Amino acid sequence: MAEKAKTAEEIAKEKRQKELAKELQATKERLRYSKRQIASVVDLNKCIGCQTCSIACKTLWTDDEGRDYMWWNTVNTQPGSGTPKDWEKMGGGYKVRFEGKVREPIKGKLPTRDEFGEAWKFNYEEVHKGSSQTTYLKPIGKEPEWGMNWDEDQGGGVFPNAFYFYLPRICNHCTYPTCLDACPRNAIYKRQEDGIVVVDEKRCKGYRFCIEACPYKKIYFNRKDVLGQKCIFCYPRIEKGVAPACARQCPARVRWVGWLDDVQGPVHKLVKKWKVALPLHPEYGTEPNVFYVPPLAPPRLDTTGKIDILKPRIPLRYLEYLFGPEAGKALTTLKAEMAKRRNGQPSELTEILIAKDWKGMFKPFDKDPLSLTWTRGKKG
Amino acid sequence: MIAEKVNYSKDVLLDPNCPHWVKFKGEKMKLSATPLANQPSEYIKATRDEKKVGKVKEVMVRAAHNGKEVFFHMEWLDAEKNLEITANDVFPDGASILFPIKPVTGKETEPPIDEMGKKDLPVNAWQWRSDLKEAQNTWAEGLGTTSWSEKCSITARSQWKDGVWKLVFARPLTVKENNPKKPESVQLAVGKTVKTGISIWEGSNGERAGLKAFSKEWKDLTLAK
Amino acid sequence: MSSKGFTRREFLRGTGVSIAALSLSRLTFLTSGGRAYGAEAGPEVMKGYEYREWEEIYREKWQWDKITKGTHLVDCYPGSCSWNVYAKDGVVWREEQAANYPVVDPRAPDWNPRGCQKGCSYSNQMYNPERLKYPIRRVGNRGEGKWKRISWDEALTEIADKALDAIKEAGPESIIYEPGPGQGGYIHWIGYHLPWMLLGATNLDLDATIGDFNRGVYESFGKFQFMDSVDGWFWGDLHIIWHMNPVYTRIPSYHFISEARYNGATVVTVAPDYSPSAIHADEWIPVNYGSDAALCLAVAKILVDEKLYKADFIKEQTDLAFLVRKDTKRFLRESDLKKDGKEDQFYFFDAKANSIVKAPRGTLKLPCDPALEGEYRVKLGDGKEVTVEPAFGLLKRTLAVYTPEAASGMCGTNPDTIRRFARMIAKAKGVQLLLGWDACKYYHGDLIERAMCLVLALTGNWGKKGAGIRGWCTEAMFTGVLTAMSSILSRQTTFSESARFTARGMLTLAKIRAEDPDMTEEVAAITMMKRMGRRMGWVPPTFYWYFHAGFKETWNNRAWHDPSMKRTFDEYIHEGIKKGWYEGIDRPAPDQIPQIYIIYATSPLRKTRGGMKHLLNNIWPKFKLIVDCNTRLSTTSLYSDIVLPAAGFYEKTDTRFPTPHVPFLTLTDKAVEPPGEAKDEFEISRLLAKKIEERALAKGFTKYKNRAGREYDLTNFSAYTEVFKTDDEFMEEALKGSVDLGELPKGTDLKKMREVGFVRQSQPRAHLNPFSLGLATDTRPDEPIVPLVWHVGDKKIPYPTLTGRVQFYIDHEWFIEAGEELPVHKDNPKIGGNGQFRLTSGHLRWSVHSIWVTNELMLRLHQGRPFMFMNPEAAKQKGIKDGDLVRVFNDFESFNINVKLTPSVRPDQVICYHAWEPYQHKGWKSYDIALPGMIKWLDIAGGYGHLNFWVFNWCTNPVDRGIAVDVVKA
Repeated sequence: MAEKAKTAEEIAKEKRQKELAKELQATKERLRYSKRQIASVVDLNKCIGCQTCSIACKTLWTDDEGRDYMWWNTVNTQPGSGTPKDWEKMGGGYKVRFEGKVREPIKGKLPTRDEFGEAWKFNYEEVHKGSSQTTYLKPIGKEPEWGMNWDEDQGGGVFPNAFYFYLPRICNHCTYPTCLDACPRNAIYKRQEDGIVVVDEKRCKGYRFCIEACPYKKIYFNRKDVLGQKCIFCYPRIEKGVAPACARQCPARVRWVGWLDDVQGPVHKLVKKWKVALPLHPEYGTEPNVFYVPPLAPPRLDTTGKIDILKPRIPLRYLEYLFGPEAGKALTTLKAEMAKRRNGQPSELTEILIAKDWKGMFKPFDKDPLSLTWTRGKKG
Repeated sequence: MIAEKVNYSKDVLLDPNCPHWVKFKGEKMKLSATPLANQPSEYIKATRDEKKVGKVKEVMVRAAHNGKEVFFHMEWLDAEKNLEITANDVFPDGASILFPIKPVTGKETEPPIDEMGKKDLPVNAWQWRSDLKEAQNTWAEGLGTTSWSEKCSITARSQWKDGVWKLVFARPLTVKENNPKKPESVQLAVGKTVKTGISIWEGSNGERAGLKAFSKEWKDLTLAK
Repeated sequence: MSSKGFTRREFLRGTGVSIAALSLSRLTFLTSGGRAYGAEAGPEVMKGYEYREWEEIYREKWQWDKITKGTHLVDCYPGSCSWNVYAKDGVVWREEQAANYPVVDPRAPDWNPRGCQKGCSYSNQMYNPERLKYPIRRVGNRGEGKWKRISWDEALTEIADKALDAIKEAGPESIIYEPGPGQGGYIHWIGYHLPWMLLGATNLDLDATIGDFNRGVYESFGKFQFMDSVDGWFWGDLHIIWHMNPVYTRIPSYHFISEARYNGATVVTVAPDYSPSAIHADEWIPVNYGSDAALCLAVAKILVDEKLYKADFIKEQTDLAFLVRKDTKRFLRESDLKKDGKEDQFYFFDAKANSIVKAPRGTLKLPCDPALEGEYRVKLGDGKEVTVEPAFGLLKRTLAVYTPEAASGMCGTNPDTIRRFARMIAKAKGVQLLLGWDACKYYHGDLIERAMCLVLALTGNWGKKGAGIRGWCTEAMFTGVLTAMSSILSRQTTFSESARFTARGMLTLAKIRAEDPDMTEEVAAITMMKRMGRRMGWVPPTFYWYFHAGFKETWNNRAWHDPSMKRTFDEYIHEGIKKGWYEGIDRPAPDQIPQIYIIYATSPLRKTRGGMKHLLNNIWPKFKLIVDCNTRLSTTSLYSDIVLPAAGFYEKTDTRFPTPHVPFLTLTDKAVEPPGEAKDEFEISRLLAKKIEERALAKGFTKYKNRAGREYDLTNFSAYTEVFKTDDEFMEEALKGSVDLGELPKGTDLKKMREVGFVRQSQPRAHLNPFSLGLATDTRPDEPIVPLVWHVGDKKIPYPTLTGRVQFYIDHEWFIEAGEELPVHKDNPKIGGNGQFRLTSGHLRWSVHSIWVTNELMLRLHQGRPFMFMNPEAAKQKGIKDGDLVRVFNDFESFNINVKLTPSVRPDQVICYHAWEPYQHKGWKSYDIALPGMIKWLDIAGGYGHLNFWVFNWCTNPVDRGIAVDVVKA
């Protein structure tokens, strides 16, 4: 396209805009910078969908008005519509181009409250003062159509070859958080010491660009305080050497927490060495720091109902959709190491996954909160 | 623009329907979309269409002072009012008046209005949002830097009726600075002329933060003697 | 470029630079190599803004005032999770697992952290809107919802007066006391129990009312209350999850299974549906609901045919080598051979000596190498000659019909899959059969469990680490509570009288054993418990239900029983009574109309199968007073007359009753005061006892007898409340008692419990306690608890069955009549009619019984309403869509529920997990109402060795699985 001659004003303006873009880039890069990165691995072969993590998080952080509908930690049955409903279809994240060097933001949808699900209040009083003729226990107001775990245990496939598994999610504390990028107030930053992504609640004005931009839809809007709020990776605990509530309180022992660069630590080993822990939807381009060991499942049955041990129940393409092209390789590694163990041979990988020493799952964040002399007014 | 000298009390003038306001000669200010290139977010730049930004194209502004306080009356068309944030995708309507904090003596000391000021050339905005009880005093030194002070001497009253927003701001001519080393407010005086600008956020158009309609250039405002 | 502004696209075009280059300048986030920023948080443009200041908000939010130890005093299996309870501003704010369990065996995973989402939200449950704070009394009709707050004094006066009137009118048995699994730790459970027990009330057996009695395990082993500690699940190389859904019900223990799998074990789940516990299995074997016996027996047949069984094990451990008479189908007994011969002396055939040999009664040690097969002639005492055959030979013939192909026709499992399964079992070094309380709720659940036990017997899979089957076990570790209670009962006013009681108990045991020198300690303890239970008024609910509560008609519906039931149900029950099988426990008598219903920590209207129909219509009108003591308003509370508010789990000091499953005695402590006027149960007991005494004296009614002639005197009724004045005193004495018995390590006291939160049992063996003895094992500090070792190992102690062996051949006359002397497969009877679907169930993920089921937080974690799973194809044929409200009905009743469609469910199955509150449904009709609550007639067999009721044991078990229903859009 032919260029028209530019006026001096236009040239100056263009120059200024380039300066501003550069300045913005520098600002965001600074906000995104951290010296170290904390990370987590979630083993989907151990997760039983009990939601203890969700409750642990809820009672600790989001039990008050405004936050009451939030689940910074969610667990959903896959395949399923998840939280918020159909979040995977909502866009956001980056298109990564030019050998991974360029991240181009993709427009995302702002999920509605109905898609998240409300914090239903129930008509207890009415039931207690009523009878079987007059009432029954139900949410007050509009009949709910979705909630955090609405399609629990529904899954996919056709009987007898149905399949499903549980997927816990928190904020991914991404290396390239689109939320941080989206915030016009520079209110989102990665903590320099640990890479935890936080929303500065004093700067945040509740503009909700971050909620649009996050491809994982893990930021909630607090209508009461007009704030974007999300998982803080329990930084007050992390600072005291205590693992986050979702991880430390997980009775199925599915979550490891540690420094991604600690080559001796289980997180590094599972992600970098054994490569069995993969990011969720890596194509979103944000480089999550929560990684998943993809799920195995019993083999399919053939048309006569016979177990066909060669046919995986969960279609590989579905796991690739979730965890990227490395999913198959991760499962192969996992199966090979499990077979070794079945034959009585040692395996470093299964030893890590068994996690005999529970505290070792969180090193160096393995302190008992009871050991802190941290009661109110007495910080220690 | 002239801020007329009047003898009415604050209570009288704060009423957006106060009949005195129509007597003052106001100024119809043209508003434009804020330039996308200046948005302090790559995400916003990449995902918004500038043609759709800045839904409110015009605002009628009137100003007055009674020697102690200054008042601004703003009136603009808005078919759909957005008062409370009743859903995730509901954004409140809003408006603000912008001032350079430091005296402007020439082109070099004039803060860029389309960049919300810049380092050492801070701007002060009096902000009103339909969902908030109180007005806010904010200040900025560039895109994405807006902060607000805890204390605020600005009062705002608003009314939406039949597709029209009416809004009145009131503030003492001078206010005490929270941090004298880093002033957060413009100081006004009778007979003095200052620069001013206007922003309007149309909530139903998803406008918030830098997505708004604004007066592209500073206007002079003189407080009549 | 236009000065009017630009869109992103225009910007890209307008600069005239290549898109790549442009993007680099405008959209880039280059992964810059050397970032060299200082420690300051803020970016350049934000200089002067203090970024990190706000972070204090969340640091402050995490702070607390006080931490106490806590656990949940609920009948959850295995439960006993230790928590730290965080209080802030006088309320319990949150709880977090204490997670301080020590390493038992460094080669295995440790126990941390124990807890689940329910435990994690008890703090919320405490303040849920349904929480009871004041005594209330009904002012309208029952169930009308009209209530008045009353004082404790008013409540207790009315209760005491009406209780005394009832006793006068119809005897103490007319007070029906129904305790439940929902509330009360050990000492508070006993606390509330005491006044009613001391009055002589009819005490309904808790296990029988719940229906968690593993009938087939009991029929085989003579006991079902043996279990390993869950860390034992890590060991073994084949785990069969069968009639269990540990993903829902064993949340804190499940990791031992997933970790066993990583350790090389194979996990197989057998279930009709692709259950939540199938998703992490190596293989899922689908089976038609309730037809697992066919699958098992086909497996057994393969094991036998392919000689994959362990002959030595079955000869020594089971009755399969015992001789059975061909003419009577009964075991050859000593009484057959000589006059006054023992009824429980059985025989082997020694092929070498070509003669029969007495099976020793006092040991499992074999006197010879008994034959497993062959027919032999034996001359009886009366000179008659009969043919006998080892039970194993009969078994082989019984198994003949269960070829994999034939079994496949019965259970729907592919024959090749059955073969593969059988060989896997044979090959495994250790088989863990993870059985829950699902099979026992099928009509023929006993047959299923017996067939399972048979497979384990054939492969020698119990009594060793990494193998076994498990039932239900309680009270095996804290006998000190019982000895402390005995101090109360004997109204001693000084402490440490429990030691004297123990000595007295041991004397009683010795006397019982003297009756038969071959009697094992375990059988002696059972005998003592049996006698004690009768004195305590502890009875199975069967007769109360049958004669008073409207079950008679239902149980006599022949169409809903198995066709092999030859006579009417009524005939069987009367025959049992006539034969004296239930002497002392068949109460209240048919003419003794129940007057008062005392409900504690349970909800009979929900729990009792068909309760909202049977109980509400039949027994409710008879009761003159219904009192519920609870922490929350259940459906039953709403139909009661007086509701008493009890203290919650963090509002009193107690321990949850311990089980060897989780061999830690776990403390809960008072973190805060109960809300309003709620009181702990021991306090309620004290006040009630004083009130009863006061009213009895005032009325001049202090002395009476029950039907068995036992005398009661209320003159000094409340004296027991003086023994322990506080929870702490009771607890100290109970701990001391258990330390003295060797159950708990020396040095265990309340102070230490408050510090650590729990204590690991040192040895579950307590002579007085049949539950402990039933484990039949020694506890080692560095090993999981493995039950039944005293039977299988060197000790060779007999089992508490009639035969002293694990018994597969039951020659009870009714069993022979039914053709069930050996385990067989029988189809599910058509309970409820000819509906197209079968309704199955299991524990909900969201509640323990019905506690937490109406907890607001829990409700938000699913659809906030009861739901039923249904197959999408089946639903489509009925015009039913996901989320639709449907009506589920059968010939008994109907209920409405919303459906969730899932391909995990069989097309002819619907699953409704329990326990929803009836009041969560329109018309207060939940799934329970469509369950007729049938019991299999053989459950009331008695007078036969171990087939005799005692506390929690040989109970009738209401059937609630595999009920026929139809489904239509509501």
